[in-house]
Amino acid sequence: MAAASPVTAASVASLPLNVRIRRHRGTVLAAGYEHVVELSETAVFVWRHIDGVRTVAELGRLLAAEYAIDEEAATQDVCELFTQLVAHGVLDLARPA
Amino acid sequence: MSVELSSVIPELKSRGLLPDAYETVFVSGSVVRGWGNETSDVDVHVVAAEPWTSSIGEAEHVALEPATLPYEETYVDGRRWDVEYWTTGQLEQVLEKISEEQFADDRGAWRTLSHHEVALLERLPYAAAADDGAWLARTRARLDAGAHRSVLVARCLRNADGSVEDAAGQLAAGDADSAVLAARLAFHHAVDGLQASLGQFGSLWPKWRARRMRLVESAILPYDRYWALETMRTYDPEDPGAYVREIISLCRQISLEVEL
Repeated sequence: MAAASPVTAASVASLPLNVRIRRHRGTVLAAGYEHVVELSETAVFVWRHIDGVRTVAELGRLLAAEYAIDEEAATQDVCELFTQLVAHGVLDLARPA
Repeated sequence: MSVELSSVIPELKSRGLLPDAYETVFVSGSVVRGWGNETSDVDVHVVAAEPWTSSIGEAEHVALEPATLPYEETYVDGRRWDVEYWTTGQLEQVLEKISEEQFADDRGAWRTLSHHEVALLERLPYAAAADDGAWLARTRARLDAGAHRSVLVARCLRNADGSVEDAAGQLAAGDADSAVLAARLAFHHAVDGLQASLGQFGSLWPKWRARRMRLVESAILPYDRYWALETMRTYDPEDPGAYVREIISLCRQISLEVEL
């Protein structure tokens, strides 16, 4: 099996057709066919802005602005989040242009 | 247009449509909500310990024991009354299906709710008692203590998810017309879920969706945007995919933001 492409600042993500998301008693869960992932508050913020167009770097900028954190660190956080979500099958990653 | 609640039980009795022993009688539907018109039916519900035998031999199916829901039709002052007969045991089974325990269970019995059970659950919050109202008050308290709202929201979002998946798949396959139809289904399910999350239930009555939307205040979907999408004002025949994508995005936003 081929290894998944690493997430970079230029990566663009989109939501798979089958992904379900639910908010229940303060917990937000994203579910694919096989896995269910709990999203943190910051992950929910990023999720709201996934549109199949914005790059990880652009999402990192939005995250940095929202939470007043360092942009580079925010972009790295988005990379790590997307790596996790892709591994659980609740996010699709397009190849960088 | 309204119905005189104090006349309901005497009318049923005079027509031989009321069991000798019953728990409660209540009325639901558009007439009770103040939305009735000259053509509106009156929906009457009788709850009794013993099953009713329909004089017209008609019954609906429910996923309960007993599995039938007898009903009668009659006309009062030229207006049709539809009378459903639930047993106390059936009511208890429906309430058990929407307990917090069942909702928390991945295979919970709430997933087996049939059409008429859902209808009952969507009607109870607005029903008007034809008796002293004690039974209805107790039952509403049980709805509030259980997962009534969560179940009704979850059903709508589950249906919306399925239609979103259809719409996205059809669009990706180049079948834009089918994708538009699936997107409209997704939109309706998602809106019903949004409304239910805000206490306006009625997914089985799409004709009142706009009325319900007027009653909720949603930052996710203000009325004007709802109505623009409902009437497809943003639909461009030259680019149907844009409408589909707009709907899919909205449905996903509703799923993300709505609290079960």
